[in-house]
Amino acid sequence: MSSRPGPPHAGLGTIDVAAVRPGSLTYLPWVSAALIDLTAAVLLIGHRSTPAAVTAAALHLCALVPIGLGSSLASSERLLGMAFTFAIPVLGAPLAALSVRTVGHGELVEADPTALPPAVEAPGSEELRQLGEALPTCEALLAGTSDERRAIVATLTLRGDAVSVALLRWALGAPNPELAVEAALAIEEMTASFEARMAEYRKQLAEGGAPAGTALAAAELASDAIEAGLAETALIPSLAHEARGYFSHALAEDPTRSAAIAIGRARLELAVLHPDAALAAIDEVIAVEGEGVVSTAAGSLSTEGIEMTEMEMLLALRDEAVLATHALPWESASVLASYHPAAPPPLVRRRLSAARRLSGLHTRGVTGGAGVTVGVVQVPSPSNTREVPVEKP
Amino acid sequence: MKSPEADVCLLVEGTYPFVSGGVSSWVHDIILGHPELRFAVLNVGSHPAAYGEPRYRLPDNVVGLHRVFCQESARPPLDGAARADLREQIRGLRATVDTRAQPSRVLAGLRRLHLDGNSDLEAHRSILADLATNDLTLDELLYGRAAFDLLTVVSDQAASEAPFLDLFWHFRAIHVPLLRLLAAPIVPAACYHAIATGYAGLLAAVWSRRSDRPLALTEHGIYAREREMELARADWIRDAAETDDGGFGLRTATWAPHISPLRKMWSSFFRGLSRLAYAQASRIVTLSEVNRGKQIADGAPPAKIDIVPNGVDLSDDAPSPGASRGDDEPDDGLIALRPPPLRVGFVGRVVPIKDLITFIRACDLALHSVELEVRVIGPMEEDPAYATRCRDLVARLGRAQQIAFVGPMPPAKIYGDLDVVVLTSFSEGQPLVILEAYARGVPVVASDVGACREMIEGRDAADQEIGPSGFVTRVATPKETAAALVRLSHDARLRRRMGEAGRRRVAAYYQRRDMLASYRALYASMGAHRALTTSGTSTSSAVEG
Repeated sequence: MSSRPGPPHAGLGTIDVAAVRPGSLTYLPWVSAALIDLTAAVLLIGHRSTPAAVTAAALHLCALVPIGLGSSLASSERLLGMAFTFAIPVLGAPLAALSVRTVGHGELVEADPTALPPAVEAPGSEELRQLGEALPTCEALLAGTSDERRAIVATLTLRGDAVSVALLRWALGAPNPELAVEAALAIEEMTASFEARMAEYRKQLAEGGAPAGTALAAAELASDAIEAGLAETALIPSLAHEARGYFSHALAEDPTRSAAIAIGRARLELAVLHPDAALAAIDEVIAVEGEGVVSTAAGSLSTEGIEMTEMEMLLALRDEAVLATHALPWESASVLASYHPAAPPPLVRRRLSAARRLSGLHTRGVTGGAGVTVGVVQVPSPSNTREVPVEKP
Repeated sequence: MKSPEADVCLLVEGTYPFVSGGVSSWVHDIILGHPELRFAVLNVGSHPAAYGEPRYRLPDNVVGLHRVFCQESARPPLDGAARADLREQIRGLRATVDTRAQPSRVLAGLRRLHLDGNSDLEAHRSILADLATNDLTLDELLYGRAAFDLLTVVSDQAASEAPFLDLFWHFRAIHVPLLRLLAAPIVPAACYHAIATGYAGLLAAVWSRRSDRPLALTEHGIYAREREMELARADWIRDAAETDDGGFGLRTATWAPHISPLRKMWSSFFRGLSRLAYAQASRIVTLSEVNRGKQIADGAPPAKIDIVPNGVDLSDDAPSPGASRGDDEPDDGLIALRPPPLRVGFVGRVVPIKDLITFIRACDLALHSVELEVRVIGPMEEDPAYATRCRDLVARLGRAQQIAFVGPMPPAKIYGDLDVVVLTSFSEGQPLVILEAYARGVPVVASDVGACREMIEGRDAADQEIGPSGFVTRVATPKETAAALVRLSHDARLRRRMGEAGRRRVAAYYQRRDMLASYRALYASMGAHRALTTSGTSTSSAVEG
């Protein structure tokens, strides 16, 4: 390693990070490899025939041998040299030699050469605790530092799925007003982004000449927004109707994508609590008889035209729809009006049940509308949650 | 002709007189309220093309309007020859900028600002002294060896996880505006008054330091925290790639947050700017107890902080005498009430921070139960896309008959036709809208941000005895706002009681004359009140009259 003094005003030195290899470089392997390659090249140019080409190729491979056997080279240098020689006939070996013998003078870092290296701060107990425990999102939102909280909110915003939106809505009731505002801003940002994209699709489809796949993209966007709980509740019926129209448009545009369209349509119908319509959409594409899957008689498509992953998805959605037809009073408009189409945050659900199981305590949300309703589950507000001992007989 | 030296130089960032809104109207009011003083206004803007024509006519006692820009306007792309020429210029600069005899004190100050950001106020005074020397040129920052050295140190010690190339550009983006400000010619004044921390606060602190004139600082919102919220959502800061699968599994449910070092650096820079202003200011004024707590948490010395709430003229804003009284309302001299429909007003700029979407959704929900006549009163041209989104939502909800966008109106004509004012903002300081509504006996439904809660429910025991003058709701919760509207619509007596409480609250705590008196005393203590010292009584009566 060499060093030279830095500019006087800075009072700093420049450290040359020199990639100095120990010992001198032996040129024999490189020259041999280059000569063998050169011979192969001359042979190839002089005799344009298949045997000559095969011989030249064999010679080119032989050129790797002197480098591979070079005892003065480190294994990494051998590997580098062989790669160069193989990839660049004739010139590869000299280039590799140049590369290996080059003593670097790259100025990688600048620091006071006399100064001690900066002390690396040992992780504190807080960092270790976080590393070890990886706080649940809800708790991290409530208990983390403002930087952590913002990082979480930013990532939830980037994800924008149903769980993220449910968590952000849950955070609106947080005792920390700054967290509530950040969550509100994040939801607003996602809603604005959805509306802007939807408006763009609407414009393209209304003007005609939209690129292929626009209708399906618009329909899926609307389905995603309903599923994630970003769509305006009062407008869900009209948005769903609009999405159905786009799915039909997409099917007319490209009938070969019927499976993907059925998946999207089924997701939409499940999200708006119409599992019967989801079932119908799926059964238009497939028919289920006992355990096996056969092609539908009514359509021109068969299961052979459906990819395995799509089929798995369709069957999973079908199961969900069958369950949903038995589980929800989906005909009721009032349910739709109060519907928050997101699954409960899994961790909240898991932790609540774990708390009951492990501590023998019941967690009960205090009434007053401070909680958030997700699906049929009322998730209590973080500020209004209290634990009540179970009265034992 | 050279303008006369001002008594007070007001330094604002991006607001008065080019943007309408709460802070701008407050500045305008302060200038109008002190006709005996000569004001200079320094507006710190991003670049010349960012603002249009002034929205306010400058009062006669404004002796100068000055502008400083943090960035240049965008330049057209260079052609091949010009690019080559520029490369030559940069090469030449690199050879010449490293010729200074002494290390730059500005760079030394910046180094401490980045690396010792949490140090005490004395250390920040010392940083400020270094920055005030302005001994670093823009070329030296952009092309000099010493500036690059600082960048590498910051990279090693404060942002080691950040990609160096990203850090390089962010380092420039942070410091170029700062150097432009440091190089701005000083506006001479007897004292300086910054209406925020941030860039305006820094410039005020530097000028105060250089000229040895006192500095007062008024914060409506908390600048550093507002910037942090902005930074958390800024898409121009590239974060590390997401490694999570984004699914619904365990990794979604547990969390080890990754804090972007670049966001952290920006955030710590803005906090540093706040501390510099807090360190130099002789007095720090805030609007509410909530904000005072935040300032102290951010490093402001408690002894320097005064709470001076906003104020309105009660006498000029009496309830409309023509209001008809409901049949069941006794003629007891209280505010009269109109029969349904309930007239609901949203008063403010139609911009995302005001969360008009929540207001519209709340009105839509309430309209399922009660009759409402809703008006959105305020300018709509500041964010046309948002205004369009709001109008579209109203149309899609089928509420165009009930919710009207009426545009801006003079304050005197707004509140006489309203029964309740709603504010659903994501962020507020101490909204004048609430005080103006109170002055007219109009109750308020407001989100729980800034000082709204203490304005509605009272800030101390004596204030709380007056009773609530409206409802506080959680942010972005339309059903709570709707519930409040339904209740106010059904309960006329409650509405009147709350309206009366609002008027009493203004009379007790939020009078404009009290606010002006506080600032008059503040300016006098800073040596700005030459006019008052010679004709004190007459000037005072002129202001209050």
